[in-house]
Amino acid sequence: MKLNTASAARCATAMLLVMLTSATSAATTKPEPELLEAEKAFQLSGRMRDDRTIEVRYLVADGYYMYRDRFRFEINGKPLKLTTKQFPPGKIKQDATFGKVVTYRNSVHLLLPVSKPGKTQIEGAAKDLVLKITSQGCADAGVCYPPLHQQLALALGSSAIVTPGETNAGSFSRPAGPAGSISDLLKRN
Amino acid sequence: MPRLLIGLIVGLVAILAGLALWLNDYDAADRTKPLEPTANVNSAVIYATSFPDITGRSQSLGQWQKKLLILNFWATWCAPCKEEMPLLAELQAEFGSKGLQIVGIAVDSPLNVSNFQKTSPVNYPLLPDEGRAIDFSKRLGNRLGLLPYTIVVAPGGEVIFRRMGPVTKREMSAFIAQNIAK
Repeated sequence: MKLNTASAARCATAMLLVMLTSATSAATTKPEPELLEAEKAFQLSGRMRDDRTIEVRYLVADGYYMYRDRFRFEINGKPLKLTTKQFPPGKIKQDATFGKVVTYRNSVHLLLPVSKPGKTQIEGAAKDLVLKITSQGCADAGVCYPPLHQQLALALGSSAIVTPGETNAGSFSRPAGPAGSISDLLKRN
Repeated sequence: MPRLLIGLIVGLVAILAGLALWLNDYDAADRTKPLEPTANVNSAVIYATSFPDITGRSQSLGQWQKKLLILNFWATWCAPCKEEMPLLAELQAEFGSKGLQIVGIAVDSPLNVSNFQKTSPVNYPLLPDEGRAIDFSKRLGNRLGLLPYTIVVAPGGEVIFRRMGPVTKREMSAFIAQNIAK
């Protein structure tokens, strides 16, 4: 079939319009990267491992990471400083502005001592513990979250897992069930 | 006849290639969406807002209401923020005399910002306010309070650009050039 000038022009114009429309539409409807709220990107949970140790776990969402050196801890109002050896190894990230920094992906597992060596109980014989944690992380998308301030309410004698906003105080009868350990919790997730 | 058809096809391909380049160049504009409903801030609010500079002196954003104003929210602990600051300084140097004013609002302490300014000086004001900066950025559409966050305010107060994440010099140069004379 022969194409005359007019029909060829019409055909080309139609093609151009269709392609322009679809290209523009694709551009304007391209979604902004979906980013998680900080509490979902860096999910905190913890429990009393024993009367002298708090076990803390962060589940770090895929595409996100946390900085080792941005962690701060406070137990019942007293700062707790961990040595480098008390942190897990993590992954070295060569940062353009900060140089070599240790970051964590997927998960962070920390053991916090709540009593001094040689002592079996926390000073002041406190039964309830309030652990305040400041953490900070970023997303691979090129954005960073402001420092995240969270707290866990724990009680000596209870090994139930708590998350920010929950408490295990007086929860000895709380059915541990499959959530009896952080490992179990992780398995379920 | 066939020559005409070939010419039309070549022209079409050229136009589409140009369009593709344009779209690629303005890929950032995909994320420059209209402000979300939470961004219920108007020009009066923007220009009535003040932040302290590193000496503690209050600086009203209203002093720049006749400028094309770029508000860049950042912090010294934010690596992507610090990486984009040199390009913002370049933009300030290039367009400052033509009516551009960049202001860095820091989610940080005055001491940290002062120390940063000593080691990595920039040619635009840095206003630290650890307590209020994030809330202000949220009012400007930064729902999650992430950094860096950048908005462009046209003279008069209309917010014409917003970006969560780093900007590029190419896109910002084009955007500024397009809007600075308006």
